[in-house]
Parts: sequence; C-alpha cells; structure tokens
Amino acid sequence: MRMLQSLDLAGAVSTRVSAASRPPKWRARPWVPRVVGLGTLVCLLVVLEGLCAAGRVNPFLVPAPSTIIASFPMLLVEHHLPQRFASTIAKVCAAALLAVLLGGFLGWAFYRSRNMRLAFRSWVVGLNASPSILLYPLFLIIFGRGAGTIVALGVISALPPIVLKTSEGLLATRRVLLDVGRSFNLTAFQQFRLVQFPAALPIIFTGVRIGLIYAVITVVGVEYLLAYGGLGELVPDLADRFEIPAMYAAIIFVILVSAGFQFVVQKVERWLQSV
Amino acid sequence: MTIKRLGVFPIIALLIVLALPLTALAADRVRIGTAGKGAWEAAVPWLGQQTGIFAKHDIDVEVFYTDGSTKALEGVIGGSIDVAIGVNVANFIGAVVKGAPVVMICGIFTGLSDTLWYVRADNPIRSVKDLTENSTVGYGTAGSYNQIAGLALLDQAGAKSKMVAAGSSSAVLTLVMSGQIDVGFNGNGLMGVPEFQKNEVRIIARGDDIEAFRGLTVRGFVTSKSLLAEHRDVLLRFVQAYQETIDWMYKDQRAVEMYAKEFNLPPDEIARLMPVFYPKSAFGIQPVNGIDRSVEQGLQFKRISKQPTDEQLAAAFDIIWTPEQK
Repeated sequence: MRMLQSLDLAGAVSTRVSAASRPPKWRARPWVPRVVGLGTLVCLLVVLEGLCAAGRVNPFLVPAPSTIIASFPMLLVEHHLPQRFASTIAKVCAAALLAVLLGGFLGWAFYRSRNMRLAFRSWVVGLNASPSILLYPLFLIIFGRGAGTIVALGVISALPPIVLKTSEGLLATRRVLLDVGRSFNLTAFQQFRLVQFPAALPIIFTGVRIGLIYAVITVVGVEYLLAYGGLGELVPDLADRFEIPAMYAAIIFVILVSAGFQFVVQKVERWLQSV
Repeated sequence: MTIKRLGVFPIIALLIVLALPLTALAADRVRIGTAGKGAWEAAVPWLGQQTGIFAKHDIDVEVFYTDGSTKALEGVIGGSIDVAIGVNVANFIGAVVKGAPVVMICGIFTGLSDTLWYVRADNPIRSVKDLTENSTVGYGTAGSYNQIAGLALLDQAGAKSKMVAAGSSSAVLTLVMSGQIDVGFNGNGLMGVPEFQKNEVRIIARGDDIEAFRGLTVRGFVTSKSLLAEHRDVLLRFVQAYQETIDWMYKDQRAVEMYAKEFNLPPDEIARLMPVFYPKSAFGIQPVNGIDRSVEQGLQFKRISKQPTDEQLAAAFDIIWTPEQK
C-alpha cells in the first residue's frame, strides 16, 4: 500500500515535472520572436528618446528618434528620395543580374573542369577575401565617373560567393540522384535542369544571397565615394549640410532597402524551389 | 631583503618618480584637421613642427589630413579633432544654424587668390563665358569653399553648368585629364602640378576674378565651445605659434626649400608662384571680415538653411587673438 502510494506520488511528481519542463504554449507561437524583436527595438527607441529629452546625449550628434522620423518628408520632397532609390536599385539589379549570370557560368565551369577549378578557385577565394572597393580608382579611369564604375564594382564584389557556391552546390549533388536521372535516360541538359540544378539550388542561393548583400553594400559604398547619384550620395551630402536627423533617416532607409532586397531574393528562392 | 620580498611597489614608485619630470615637460597636444595635403597653406603645421616653433610655444601638433574642410569640421563636432583648419565661413555658419556646438576662433585666409579653374588644353572652353549647360565643373566636397566659389563664379558669369563633387585636387585633375569633367579646380595655384608645367591644362578663371570674395575672410579655424572654454590658453598659444610659423615661412627661404623637398615640388616654381597665389596680406591669423556677405552667399548657395539670428552669430565667433594684439 505504501509502495502504491509512493508510486502515485512519484507519478504525480513526474507529471508535475513534465508539465513544468514543457514550454508554455505562448512560447511556441510564431509571432513571439517577432514581438520580442520589435519590442526590443521600440524599447531602445523609447530609451533614446528619453535620453535626448533629458539632455543626456548631444542632440546634434544623436538626434531623437522622433526627429529622425519627422525628417522623412524632407527627404522625399527636397532630396528626391524616390528617384535616388530608383537609381540605386537599378544599379544593384544590374550588378546582381550580371553577377548571377557570370558567376553562375563560372561556377558551372568550375564544376565541369577540375583543372580550371584547381587553377582558379584560390583566385576567387582571394578576391572574396579582399576589399574590392579599393579598386575604384582603377575602374574610375576605365569606366568613368558614372554608373559603369559602380555596377562593375558591384559585380566584382558579388561574383566570388556566387561562383564558389554554384560549383560547390553542383559538386555536392548526391550520386544516387544522378544515377536515377541516368536510369531515365535523361539528356545532359535534362539531367542538369531536372536533377542537378534543383538539388544544388539551396547552396547556389546561399551564394546568391551573400553576393547580393555584397552588391548592395558595394553599390551604396561606391556611390558614397564618388558622390554620384542614388542613396549612397545622399548620406554624405546630408552630413556635409549638417542635416543630421535626415542623414540618420537616409541611413535607416538604406538598411530597409537592403533588408527588402534580401526578402525579395528569399521569395524568389522559394518560388524557384516550388517550380 | 630580496626584490621579490619587497614586491613590485618600489619599482612602480620609482617609475612614477622618473616619469614625473616627463609629465611636467610634456607639451599640450592639439589635434588638428586640415584639407589639401601638400598645399602651401596646409604645410604650416608640418613646418612649424620641423622648425620647433610649436614646441617653443609648448604645443605638440597632431595633424589629420581630411577630404575637405567639412570633414575636419565634422571631426571637431564629433570630438576627434580639436581644431579644424581652413573651414569655409559660410559652411561653418550653416553648421551653427543647425545647432553645432562650435566656434570660429580666427580667420586664416582672405579672398580666393589661391584658387584656379582650368580645362584640358584641347578643351574648346577658353573662359567662363564659354561654359554651357552641358559643361561640368568639379569641386571638392559639399560645403567646401571651392564649391561655394565655383557656384559664385558660375553665378557671376551667368552660366548654368553642372557642379560635380569630385574629391581632392588630384582626383579632379584625373577627371579633367580623362575627359570626364570639363573644368577642374585647384586650391594651391596649380603649383608643382606637372600638367600645368607642361601646358597640358589651361587656366580659365582665377579666384580673384570673383568680385563677391574680394576682401572677404573665406576660411578660419573652428573648435568646439567646450574645448575653448576649458583650454583657451592652449588654443591661444597654438594660434600664436601658427602665426609665427607663417611669418617665418615668408621670411626664410628655407621654408620654400623644405616644403618643396617634402612634397617633391620644384623649389624655383614655388618661390616664384607662392607670393602670387598666397600673398602675405591674405594669409595669416586675422579677424573674420564680411560675415554678413558670407551669410548671404551661404543662403544663396543653400549652405545655410535659414537666416542666423544675431545671438547665433555673436556666439559663433570668438576671435581669441590677432597679430595686431602683439
């Protein structure tokens, strides 16, 4: 009897323990991370606003978030934000398209030719590790002070991860999948389109995503250096005019553009995988 | 008793005792930001250090060369630079209107005798009158004196050409020689520029041609209000040492030789052109003349967002010393 009681007790304890160890239901909700992230941001902004209002930080160097938000209309009207956005995004898209085409081809060539891969892979890795933006004086002479230089540098910076990940993805295709393709007597092109490319797509898109991040950074960075068109030119121009809240607003806008670009790329990746 | 038993305290005490005289002897360090590395005007801090003039005034100068004087001004606002040298007066007032806690402590240059605009020798533009809407005119960075001067030059000529931010003088020269822009500027009278010596470029306008800048103090020294309040004596000694260096540069031929050697320039050409582009009457510590005109120019060329109040202007200028006060 005592044993039974102790067993019951043990069962009750174990039930309590398992109930206690199980995470509460709200933690499993998909909106929780978003709320936590957004809440943290809002809290930080409120703290900053309070520090500015209390005069604890220099409002000239670190303006209040409300002032930054209030300067967006000025960016739209006086500094032609939509036109600048279109200019930058056009250059990013051009650089991305060229980098994907060229990088995809080179990645495929690396996959096809072992000698080429062994000969040039280290070059691409080296290029990936180097700050290619420093080449801008050279490109300035070749392409002139204009969109050509900016796009070319965008391509150069985006290329290495796309090349490396494309070849890596194609090389990583499982042999069993290739064998299945062969058993169906697929042509080389069909084998590539129906087996290798879909299998390599997740790895290829990792390279594309990294490459596009580099392209956005480089395009905005070279616009900044050349003071030529787009969002990159806007930030130093506002800084030099001491429009500090508007400068922060422009920086926030650039970050949002970059995040939006990544979001679009993710959507494209999912769409391609579903097709 | 061994050193081990004594511990490290006697050693630390000894080091402190040894360091005390050094501390007492250490000069006051002034971090300055200046644009135009290699220009005669920007060589003052270097020459002052080489000749020991700054040391004589108990000042140790640390020079940061910036891409335009606006960057130096931004450094002062951010606290990384103590004194910004050669800041355009109109741009400075623009910063004050926006609430920047900065103050101009003296003027340094009157007029624009040091500035030239040029084209490639094969360019059909022969003077500013030939500039069209399609012509492109380079300037340094937004807010620099050469931008405002360029705008004033175009305004005086009635030209509607496009102004292009092109960076340093050497970057502008590259753009002109490669045909990417038509007109370049040089803020050092093109002294020592090989393309000028070989007649590969042609001067189309000089700063002196612009009436709006005659007799106007165009550039000055800017520091933060807090630094001026706390270390006025240091800044005073710095400004006095600066002027003494300038005096020496115009008195002693060695200044030209040292400058030419350091920046790999032909000394004869420097000796011949320097008095033309940097006349002693224009270059030196001075009061800031023509503030109203600078405000007008700043408003006209959108470097000042709104008319500054009298209080703002009064607080913005605190001329700590001029040579007349000797």
